[in-house]
Amino acid sequence: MIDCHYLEPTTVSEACALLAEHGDGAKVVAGGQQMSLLLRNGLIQPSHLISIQHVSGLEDIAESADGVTIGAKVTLNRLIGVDNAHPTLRALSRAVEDVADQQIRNFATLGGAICEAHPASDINVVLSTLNASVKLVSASGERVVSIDDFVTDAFATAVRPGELLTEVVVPSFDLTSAAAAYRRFVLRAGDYSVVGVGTFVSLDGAGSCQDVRIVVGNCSGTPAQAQEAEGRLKGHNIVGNNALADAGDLAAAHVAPSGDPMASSEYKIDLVNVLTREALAEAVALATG
Amino acid sequence: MKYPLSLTVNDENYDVLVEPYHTLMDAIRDGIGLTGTKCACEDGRCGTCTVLIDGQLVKSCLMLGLQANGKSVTTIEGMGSPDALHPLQAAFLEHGAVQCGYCTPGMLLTAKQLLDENPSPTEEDVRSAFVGNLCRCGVYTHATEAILSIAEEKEDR
Repeated sequence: MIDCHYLEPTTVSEACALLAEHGDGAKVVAGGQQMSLLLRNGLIQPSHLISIQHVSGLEDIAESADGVTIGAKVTLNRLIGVDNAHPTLRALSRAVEDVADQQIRNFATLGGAICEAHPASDINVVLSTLNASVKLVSASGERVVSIDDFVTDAFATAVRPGELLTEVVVPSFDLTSAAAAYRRFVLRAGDYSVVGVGTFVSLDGAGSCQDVRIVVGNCSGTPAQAQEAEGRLKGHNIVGNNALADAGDLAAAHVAPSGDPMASSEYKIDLVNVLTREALAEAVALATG
Repeated sequence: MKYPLSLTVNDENYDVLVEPYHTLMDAIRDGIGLTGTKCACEDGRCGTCTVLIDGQLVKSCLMLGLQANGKSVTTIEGMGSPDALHPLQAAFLEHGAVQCGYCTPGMLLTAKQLLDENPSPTEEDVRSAFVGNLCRCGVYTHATEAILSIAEEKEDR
């Protein structure tokens, strides 16, 4: 088996120095919920595991005028109900309730879930819907990257050797006129989603759509924006007519998912249609409520 | 290279040597020799390897052993013994909530944690708690009844 070293820095700068020193052979361990599987199955063979378990300052959730900042080590279970204090995180909080199971959510971290970049990840779809970005820190500085740019393909991200994802920023929005929702479909509780759809809708007082975002999960390697469906809604009155159904049809017409043992391509396309309509209806109801 | 791992398991201290890629389950079963914690899917799905770590449920196949260094672990061996069953173990027997028994250690720890956090769960609460514990024999109904019977006993007191 591999010869592997296990290092436990206690600060972000220490972690970044170790990541810089050991380059491509170094992998970050946060909750370990995915890393343990990758290691055991021999899918990765790092020379150094950098555990950030004892790195302080990555577990805060803070709100400013710009948005909510969530530390990379915040566990998924901690996000359940987080919308009580931070209402713009409602869709994220609800989505996380159904991710995996309580055992995994107790230790799986938000940063780890993002970096896993699983194509069926609910979390990256919701974060894309919310226009979230991540902060990446390295020994030579830091940069902020949108989730859309960060997730580059199935299980692939824009993280560079030496970089540590330290926080996620979810921009604020006006809760009196805008809302986000997420709908997913699974065959068994705790599974990865067969399809998930996130929607964000901003309306004016007359029911005209000022801004919209529709993101489809698990129909390609990364969360995918349904631009044609968004085009049908933006600038139009979408309350009390068939606009949402049209958007569902358009979203479904522009995905080309591959089938898998859980669902055929046709089945997933139908799900995109239904879930898009449902998630839009929920967001519209919240935004007008 | 191997690293020292110090664990408190069921109130006893253990020091073992583990590779960084060894899981907590490896440390408990192979390092310490407590085999009540079962190994089935090794993929994080089935929950037979569920233990408590500092009072939190975890699938021990999904955590590296070294992540648990210095922590306190409760395994099925720490819940009760054949001579002094934990009330949940007795209730599982009474309600026939065991068939092949392989999932039972994990289920009992999940049940213990549920009742520790919520002494009066609803049937829905119990069923939700079992999302991470698969039983292919299908004892969920009897296990749910067993847990609810304990919750009711506590209420009666």
